[in-house]
Amino acid sequence: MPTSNQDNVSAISRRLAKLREQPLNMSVFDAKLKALLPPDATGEHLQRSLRMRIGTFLSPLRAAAALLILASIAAAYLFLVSAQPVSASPQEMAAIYERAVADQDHTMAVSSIDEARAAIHRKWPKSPDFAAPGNMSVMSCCVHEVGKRQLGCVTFTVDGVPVMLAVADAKEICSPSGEARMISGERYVVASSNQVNMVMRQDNGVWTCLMGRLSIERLAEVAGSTRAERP
Amino acid sequence: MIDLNEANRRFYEWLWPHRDTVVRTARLLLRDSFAADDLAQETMLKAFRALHRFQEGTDARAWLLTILRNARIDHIRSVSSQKDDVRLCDVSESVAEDSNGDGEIDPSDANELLERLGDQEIIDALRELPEDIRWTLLLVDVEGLDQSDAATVMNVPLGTVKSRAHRGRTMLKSILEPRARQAGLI
Repeated sequence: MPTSNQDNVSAISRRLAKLREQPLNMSVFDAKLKALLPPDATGEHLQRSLRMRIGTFLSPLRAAAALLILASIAAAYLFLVSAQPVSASPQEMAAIYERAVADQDHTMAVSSIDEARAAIHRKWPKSPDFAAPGNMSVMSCCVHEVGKRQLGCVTFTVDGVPVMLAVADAKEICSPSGEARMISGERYVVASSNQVNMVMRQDNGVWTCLMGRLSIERLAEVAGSTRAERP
Repeated sequence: MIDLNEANRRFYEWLWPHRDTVVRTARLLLRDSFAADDLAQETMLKAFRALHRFQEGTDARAWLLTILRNARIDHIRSVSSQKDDVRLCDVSESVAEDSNGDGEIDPSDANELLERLGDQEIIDALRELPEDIRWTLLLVDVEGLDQSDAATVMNVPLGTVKSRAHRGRTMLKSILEPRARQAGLI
C-alpha cells in the first residue's frame, strides 16, 4: 500500500525532531561567550569569588578543625592506651617484692590483714578489698605504682618465708603473657624472676599476685585461700 | 534597574541553560558554522543586555529564539553578501508545488526511509528551503515549539506558521525523495 503524502510529511516532521538529539560541542562557544560577558557577569567569576570568600572564611576553620581532629585522635589514643591495663612485668614485681621485704619502701607496719587493708585504703581509697587467712603473720603493707597504676601490697610470712600479696584493679593491671596453669581448679599465670615465684590470677575484677621464694604450688595453695573484690 | 550581580544570576539561571537551542538553530540555519556561532553569540549577548525586559516564568527559549531571529534579520539587512542564504526562497518554491501529489516513496514506511538518510543529508536539504520556511521547520519540528509560540517568534500569524510548516515538510520530502532514489534507498 503506498504511503500517503500526509504520512510522509508527518514522518519528515518526526525526522526533523531527531536533529535535536544531535550532540552539540558547546565548549568553544561557551568559552568565547564567557570571555565577552562582563567580568562580574560570568558565573565562574561569581563562583570563584564565592569560593574565595568561603575559602578565606574556612581557612582558619579548617586549621582549627584539623587541630581539633588531631587533638581528638591524640586524646582517643591516650584514652585507649590509658584504658588498657598495664601488664605487670615479673622483673618489676620481683623488685617490688625485694624492696617490700627489705622494708626499703615506705611500708606501713601492720599486724593483720584487716589493718593492712585499712592502711592501704587510707592511701588508696579505691583499692580493692581483699582477705587472706587470719593465721598469717602480717608484716607490712604499702601502695606502689606500676606504670602509674596503683598496686596495694601486703607482706606476710608463709612457712617462715616472706610472701607478698599484690592487688590491683584488673582494669589497670593484668598478668603478663606467660605460662598458665590450672592448680586446684584455679587458673593462674605463673612467672618467676630472680628466684621469686609468682602466681597471678584475676577474680571479681581484681588482679592479684602472690609472690615469694616458695614453690608455685605452695604459692597457689595460699593464693587459693585469699579473696579479693572490687570495692 | 537590576545590578550586575542580579543580572548575572538571572542570566545564568534563566537563559544559559537554553544556549544550546540558540546554537543548534543557528548552525542548522546557516551553512557557515563560524557565522552561525557568531550569530548565536550575538544573540546571547543581546539577551544579556535585554535581560531586564525578560519576564520570569515566560518561555526563555522562545524569547532567545526571537532575539536570534531578529539578529538574523538585522544581519541580512546590513550585510548584502548574506543574500546567498535568502536566495533559497526562490529555489524550492517550484519544487514544493510539484510535490503536492501522493507520496511516491517506496518502501512505504517513510520513517524507515528517513532513518536511512543521515542527519547531514536532512540538514543539507533543510538548508535548501527558503529561510522563512526553514525557520518554521526549525522552530516547530526541530525545537518542538507550539505553532503559536513559533508565530510569536517569527512575528507572523498562526495560519502562516501552519501553512509554512506544511509546505516546508512537503518541500523537504520532494528534495529528499530523489536523493533517496539516487542513493538506492528506494
